Amino acid sequence: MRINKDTLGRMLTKDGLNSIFVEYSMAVLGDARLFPRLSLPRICDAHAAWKSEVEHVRENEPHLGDGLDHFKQCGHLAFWLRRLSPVVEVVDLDFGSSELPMTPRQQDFRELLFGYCNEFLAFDLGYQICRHYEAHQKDTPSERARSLLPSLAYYKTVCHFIKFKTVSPDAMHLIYKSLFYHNGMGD
Amino acid sequence: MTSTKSLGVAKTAAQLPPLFIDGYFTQRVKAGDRPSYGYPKNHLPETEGESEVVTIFSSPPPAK
Repeated sequence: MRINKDTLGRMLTKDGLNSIFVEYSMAVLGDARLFPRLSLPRICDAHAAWKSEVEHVRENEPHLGDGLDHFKQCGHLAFWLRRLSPVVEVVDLDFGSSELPMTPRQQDFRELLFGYCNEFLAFDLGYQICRHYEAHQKDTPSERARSLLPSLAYYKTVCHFIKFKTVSPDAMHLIYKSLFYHNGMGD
Repeated sequence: MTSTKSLGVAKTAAQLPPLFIDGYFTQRVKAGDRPSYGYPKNHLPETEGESEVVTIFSSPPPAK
């Protein structure tokens, strides 16, 4: 799956978010040989809540009249995807170790998804979008963003936090912003 | 007013077993597995020496 400058804009339409989340979840879970079983009403609810919140923030928060940056939009997106949890189950696509054994990394990923499927997808989709905007900024593309790859321990920490602790869209915004922060970063 | 027909449907529904969504996760839980929840094991790392407290307000600007 590829992310570009139109991805966030497309997601603001209901069909756009639906098709992008479906494509994304199928691609990512496929790496663990799993196939998502999705709830369309939950995707629609996540879209409606996210869109309404982004519009509300733009209209009411000082200095955001021109719109929210990628960190802020993704903070709200991750919050609602995690809360509405659109993946209700998964289908096992593994044919057993005799056919094509899974690598230890695939097995670790599968175990992470067993406990934190929706949390992983919610966080990682926002992360991938932020990474695109940081790595492909026209004026100051970040080499660091291109090579950034959170570890399994980092994903576990974030997933546990957003599943069981008190999380807000602002907290998610700050996580994304901090992940991509580096010395010399302008704003 | 509740119709006789809807009462019949409600009665039938009450006699049915609950419907659960089935899938890989459900099968694992049924088999007795539980996800491994919790933060990764962590502890305070050992360090050496000391650090000067530096902020953007006290240090020279970073080299371009």
